[in-house]
Amino acid sequence: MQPDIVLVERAIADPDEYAKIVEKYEAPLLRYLLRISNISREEAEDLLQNVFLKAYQNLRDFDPDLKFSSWIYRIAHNEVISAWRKRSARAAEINLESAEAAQLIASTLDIPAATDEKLLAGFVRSVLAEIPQKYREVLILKFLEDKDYSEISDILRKPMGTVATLVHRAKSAFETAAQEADLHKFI
Amino acid sequence: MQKLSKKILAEIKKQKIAPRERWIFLIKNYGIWALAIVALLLAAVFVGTSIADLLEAEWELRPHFPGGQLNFFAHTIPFFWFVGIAAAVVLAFFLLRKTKRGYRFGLIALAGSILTASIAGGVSLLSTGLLPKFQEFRMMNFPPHFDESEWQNPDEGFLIGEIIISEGVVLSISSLDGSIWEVDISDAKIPPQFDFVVGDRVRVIGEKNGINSLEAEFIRPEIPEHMREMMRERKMQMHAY
Repeated sequence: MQPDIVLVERAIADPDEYAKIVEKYEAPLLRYLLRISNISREEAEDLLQNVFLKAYQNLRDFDPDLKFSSWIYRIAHNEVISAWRKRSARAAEINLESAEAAQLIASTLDIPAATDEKLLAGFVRSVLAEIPQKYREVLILKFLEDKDYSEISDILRKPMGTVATLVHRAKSAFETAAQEADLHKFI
Repeated sequence: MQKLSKKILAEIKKQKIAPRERWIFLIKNYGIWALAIVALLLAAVFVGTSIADLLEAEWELRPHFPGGQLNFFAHTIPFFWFVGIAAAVVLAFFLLRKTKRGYRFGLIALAGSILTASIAGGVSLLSTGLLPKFQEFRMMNFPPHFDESEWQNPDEGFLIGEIIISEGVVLSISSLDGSIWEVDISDAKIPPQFDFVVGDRVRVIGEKNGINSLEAEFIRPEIPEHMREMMRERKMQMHAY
């Protein structure tokens, strides 16, 4: 696999080469869009197309000191925000595409492991829907997208200290919401 | 090739989309930096002006100022420049946050750095002599204004008016209402180099000691001395041309 900077340089020179970037980031970005918003898969694909078109137009603005993934995730994040602004509505609930993702959040945040994965996914989904969007997104970036603080800082354009605080508060908010929701009702 | 990449490449070709030129991004980035530097310079000028105003304020008049000490502070504290500093600092903050790496700095670190740079810049401008040019411009175009109703109150010991006769320790001053006052300045605190030129407007703080007669404790030009000197020099330069 070629480094991203090489893919970017080739895509600038030849549009067909851009397909390699699309193929590399299509699946993770689609999953990310679905995770942070409550849009349908079709809507997410439209949004994803806009993300890739915007990224293509702005390829020469890519800063090689950043990770390309952080840069394109930032574009995706901004696209979701723009879409919310247009719709004047934010995610009321979120998509967790697999019970595995719910399990991952639950284990990272000290939520007792459940026997029924589908029930646990439903529980995590409902708890995530309860917490503020800014917390929900950092939890998704940190625990599901597996981004470190530096990458989250570059994606959300916030200082690393702020990101660390957000993650800490997000965990607390999730735990509080999880206690209020009462896991036992789901199990 | 997967479905989405095909679709995107087709869209790129259909809409004839091309990566924007690098100079567009460079202009945007340098533009933000340039505006941020202008905001920082403005903040430095306002800081320097505030320091100059505070250093040159008539602090010795504080206990005797018409309207009391609160009124003195209201006239002396450079609120206008403080608002200017706040606006320039906020503007610089948001512009620097918009730069490529600006978001990496926290609120306190960035705002603290901007404030420190503004203060250092203001002090530097004061010491390099660049700021007096701005002060001069300000004096010529926006001379200081004193509330005449506060100073035109001889019964309370406050008088503002024009020197019409200057003989020894007694000045004849024509007040704003046209009355002529004899002002004894023998015991008055007078700023150094103040030369009592006929035609100059002055402010007097003292005590009424007779009909149309005052004993001055303080006498000051209507416009503070350092500003007056500046304006005189400017006028002389203009006449020379």
